[in-house]
Amino acid sequence: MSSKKIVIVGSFGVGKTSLIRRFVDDTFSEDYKVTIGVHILKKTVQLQDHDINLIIWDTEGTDEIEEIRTSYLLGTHGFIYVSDVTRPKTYEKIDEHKQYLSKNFGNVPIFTVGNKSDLLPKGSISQKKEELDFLDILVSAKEGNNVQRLFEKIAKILIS
Amino acid sequence: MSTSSSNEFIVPIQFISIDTDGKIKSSDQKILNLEKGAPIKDAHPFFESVISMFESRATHLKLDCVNMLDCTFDVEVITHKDNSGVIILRDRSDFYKRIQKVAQQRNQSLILNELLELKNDVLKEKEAFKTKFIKNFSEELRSPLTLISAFSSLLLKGDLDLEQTKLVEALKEQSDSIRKLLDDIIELSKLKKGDSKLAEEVFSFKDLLSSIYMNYNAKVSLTNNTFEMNVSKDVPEFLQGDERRIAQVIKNLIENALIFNDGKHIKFEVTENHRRAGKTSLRFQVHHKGTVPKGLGDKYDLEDLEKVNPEGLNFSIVRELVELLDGTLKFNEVDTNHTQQIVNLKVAYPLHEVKLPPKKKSTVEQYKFSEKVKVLIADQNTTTQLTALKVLVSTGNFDTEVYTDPRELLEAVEKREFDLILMSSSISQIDSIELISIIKQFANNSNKKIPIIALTVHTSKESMAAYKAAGFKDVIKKPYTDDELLNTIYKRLKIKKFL
Ligand SMILES: Nc1nc2c(ncn2[C@@H]2O[C@H](COP(=O)(O)OP(=O)(O)O)[C@@H](O)[C@H]2O)c(=O)[nH]1
Ligand SMILES: [Mg+2]
Repeated sequence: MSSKKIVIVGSFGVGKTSLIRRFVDDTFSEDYKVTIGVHILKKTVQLQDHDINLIIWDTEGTDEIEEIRTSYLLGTHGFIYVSDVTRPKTYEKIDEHKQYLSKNFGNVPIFTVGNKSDLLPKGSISQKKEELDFLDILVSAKEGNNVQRLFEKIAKILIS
Repeated sequence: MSTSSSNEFIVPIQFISIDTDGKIKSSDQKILNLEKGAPIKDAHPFFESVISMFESRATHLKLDCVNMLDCTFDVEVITHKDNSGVIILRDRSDFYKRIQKVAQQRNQSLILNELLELKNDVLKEKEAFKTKFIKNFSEELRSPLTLISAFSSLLLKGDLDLEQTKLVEALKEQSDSIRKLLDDIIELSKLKKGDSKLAEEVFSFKDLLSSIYMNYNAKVSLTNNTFEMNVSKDVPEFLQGDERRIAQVIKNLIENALIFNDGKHIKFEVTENHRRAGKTSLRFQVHHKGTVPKGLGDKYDLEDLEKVNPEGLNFSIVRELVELLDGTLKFNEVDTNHTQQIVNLKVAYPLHEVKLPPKKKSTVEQYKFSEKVKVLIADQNTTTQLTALKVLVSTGNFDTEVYTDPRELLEAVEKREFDLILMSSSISQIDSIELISIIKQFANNSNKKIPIIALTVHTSKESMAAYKAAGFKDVIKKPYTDDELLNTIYKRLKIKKFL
């Protein structure tokens, strides 16, 4: 079975750790415990004809992408860039940061994610959702929406 | 597994050597208990990631602060060309626990600040909306006030018995004070919007003070009080700055004293603190008996608009004005029941001698025309229509016709002859600036030459310029008094023709 390394990046407090917890253990906590350094978790994703191990590196949140210890990012097969839909600061520099990652760590897929979608005003044609359409996917670690789909999508792309 | 050391300077270290197949060749077991011969990748996903980086190259990689198996390690990975290697773990759990605590506090407060900032932006937007609403609303109120103001002064000029005179005087006084209130609100909303610019003109400060004195001496004596004004000798006669704003500050201070007056005497003093670099620092002080309710002098946000009572409005305006003029403001309670309002302003003064043109009088000439002036009034608003109509008719000098329908209006300027057109800012949704150009096309030759005057609440510099550019001879600001209306008309008519 193949293993793929995925690094989760994004500003602090956006819900990186929560997203992984939801995916790996299907749990969620309202408490905020700041991550320092890196935590490494593993989960197998079952696709139709393949199983794949995702080894997920949960990094400490920084404002500036350059501040992440580069040794964490070596040998990565894909990035998940998480932002918080309620905090514009966490997605303002997304393009710049994507460029930095592609340039320095190989041309691997980068998924941009807006977390905490549960906090958006309800309704299908919400204006806010349109504003956020530059993101690949909106998820909620709290309610679990789209979390499974996100990782399955990534897994599919990584084996193709 | 973790050996929590009491001595933080001793960092437990573990060396793990890996063979060419990724299996554990040897481990000194100081921290983690690893089974010899087992694949290192099974010990933790971290090692699985790391081992995939063994790519037959000699590298030395440092990975700080790796959390696994209940500890936090600084890790070194050394790989050899034959794909064997060494992994060195340093258990720095205690150190990183402290770092974590600091980061926790820092991040929480950063996030909080971010959210507060966002909230603040929303509040600002709301405030701007309110400001705009208040401004529009106040301007709407001006039209009916025109009627009351102008009718009252008109009535007072006629034959009224004493009782009636008193009633009308009261009416006028009330409407004047509402007018003032409205102007205040509009002023405040402008100040709040922060788009006010300061004038930089030379003006006679002495004249300003004496007109303030005359005004308040009369007003205060009506209430059986006395008004005293002292201006110290060193205060410059001329200043260079925003005369209207400075006057507003002074007037508002005095009004404040009048509102909360408990005694018989209001004292107003102007002194000079010092002069520096072409600027004089002036101190304005108003002293009266009676106390001002706590909090009235506080700065308030439009957010709390509901809490501001009309009495507080003056205070808010003074505060905003003083802020705009870059001065300071203080309310002191003295001797338990006296209030002292102190404002310090730095104002430029002209360094050379100044000669200002003499002021114009604003009373109306009492003309008796031999021929009546034919006036066309184009106005939809019955209130202002009536006002203008009555004021003009009362002089006996005018014949007036009112038009509210643009088509009839155009027909009239084509077929009939007039001497003057008064036009409000819009008629049947057609903007007066647009309308005037159509009028000019339709008008017969004699009507092409007559003055057209705009009646409007839009009196910003930009609007005035637009009116003039469109061909209006003059603009009369609503609400106007009968004097203002007549003066403008007389100024713009070729009067000799009618005498
Ligand atoms: N409402 C809501 N809160 C979330 C969501 N995901 C995370 N949070 C909260 O956001 C805070 C930060 O989450 P965390 O996962 O530690 O963020 P990280 O710093 O990016 O790892 C925590 O208080 C979480 O409970 C979500 O989807 N919805
Ligand atoms: Mg985290």
